[in-house]
Amino acid sequence: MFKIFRMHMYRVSRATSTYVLLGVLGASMFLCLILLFALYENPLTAALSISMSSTSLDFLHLSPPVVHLFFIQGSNTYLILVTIFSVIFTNCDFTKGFAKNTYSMFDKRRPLVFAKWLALVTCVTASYIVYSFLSLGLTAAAISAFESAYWTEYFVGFFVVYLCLISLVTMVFWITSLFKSPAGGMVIGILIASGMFATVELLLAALVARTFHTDFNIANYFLDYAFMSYNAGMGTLATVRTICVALAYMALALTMSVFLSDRKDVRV
Amino acid sequence: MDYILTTYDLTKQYGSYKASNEVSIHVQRGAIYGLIGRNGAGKTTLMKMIGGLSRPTSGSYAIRGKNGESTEQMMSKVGILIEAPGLYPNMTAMQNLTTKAIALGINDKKYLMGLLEEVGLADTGKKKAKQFSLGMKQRLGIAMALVNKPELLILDEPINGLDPQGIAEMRGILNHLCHDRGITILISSHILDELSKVATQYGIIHEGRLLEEESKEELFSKCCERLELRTSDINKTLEVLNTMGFSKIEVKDDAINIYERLNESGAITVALAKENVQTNEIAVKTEALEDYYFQLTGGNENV
Repeated sequence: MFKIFRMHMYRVSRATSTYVLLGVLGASMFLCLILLFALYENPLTAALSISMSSTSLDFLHLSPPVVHLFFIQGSNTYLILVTIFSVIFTNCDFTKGFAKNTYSMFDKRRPLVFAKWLALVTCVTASYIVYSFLSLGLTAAAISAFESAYWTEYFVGFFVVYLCLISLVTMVFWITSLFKSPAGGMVIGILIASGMFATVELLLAALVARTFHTDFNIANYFLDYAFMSYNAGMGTLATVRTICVALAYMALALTMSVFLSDRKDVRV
Repeated sequence: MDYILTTYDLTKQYGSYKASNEVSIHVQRGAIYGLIGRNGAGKTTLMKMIGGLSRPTSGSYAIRGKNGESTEQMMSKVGILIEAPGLYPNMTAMQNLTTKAIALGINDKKYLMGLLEEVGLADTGKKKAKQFSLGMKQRLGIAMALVNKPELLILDEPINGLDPQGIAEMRGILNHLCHDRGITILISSHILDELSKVATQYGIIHEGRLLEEESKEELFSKCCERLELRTSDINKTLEVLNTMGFSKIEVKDDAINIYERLNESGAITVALAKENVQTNEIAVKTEALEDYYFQLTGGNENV
């Protein structure tokens, strides 16, 4: 299994698309930084109307949790790029036909799929850590309004958002493996990452609330909505719920990906 | 017989359609086994099952005679190139080979370079696979299939789409692999004439079923030029032919086929007449491999 993991890491390191996506990610970070600068370094700050009733975070002050929220969830670019990467990563060895070189040599495909997922998670984890800390460091260095506070909230948020991200990536991994071409996985993945499904889920939640006269918000249990709406200041209940939702979706998607792999013929 | 690959009623069924229907082939060690069949005959399906890419609906197969081995143990000695070579277009030949080598736990650049030399791609340097000609891609596909030092190489239509030079190069590589390295090759092709230049064993497959399996000698004896002779007395005719020194003779139904000295039909007729044997028919007949194939499968469309 480790050999397959190494193989995927090798191919990712040689893939042009990896460097193209990293370039776009860098450009996106730079644009986000300019936007933050514009928002917090001039009188417009006073006009900031970012507020969330469910959070204790103070958005008028540029603290680490706010930076994290802004760069990861606030800007969909990171999520969309991660989704595109995940789809390309998952589908590439099938679209190029390379899969037959590896799948033919192993009796059980489950370890192969698991190793591939592990390689994907490793890449996304690396990008998440580098992107998060680099954006935080650059913000701290470039914007004088940055305040070193709320570190506990920052690390809790960092961890929960990471779980959601890996869960999202695992969902994309599974969905992509269901389609012959990468287009299917790409469209669904981007719809999730861009928050378009979240709008539908919110409407559904409103419908449920109105129909059954309840405060229960069903949208909280959809991964993408939970992911988009979560932030570090939401409190313990919301944090635990988001962690549970992320883990449940991740377990489901990984189990489906791994178990379905043995049933399918490898496309040549 | 020393068979490196034997399949036992290998069947693949999609719904009610049987792409491969109880196919039992026997590939001798050291042979080049040519699998002949038209599009959709079931060649690729059979090869995919043997190559571990598709699960058989029923039946089994044994590699190196060991039926009880796991697929993984069996496949460790099999190299495959089914349809297009699975290459990463943005990687060089060496990078593509390295990718597969890592998956197999092989970390020997010299060995990989040796493989590239073997298929004539050692000087491709930083050229990416997407810039390769079809022939180069096919040769790289063969190098990829050789990474795990296989005893059996499965090649599905490796000469499809190649120009005459590419076909000749491929033929050279196949002969080298079989004769110099002792690798058994299972190869399918539409180009019967080309296949007949390299294969030493043949399996003819049609609509998922194996129609015939025979050696090169057996097949060629059915296909090559011969004198077909029909007389009033077969036994006496055989005695006369014996006396005349003919040895490559085959009796089939009411005819005697002679595979040598085809220009001596006159002398044969005279000798038979002297022994009071009436010659009903004597003619040189030719049956090309293609004709024989058509005769077996009952048509010449879409081969």
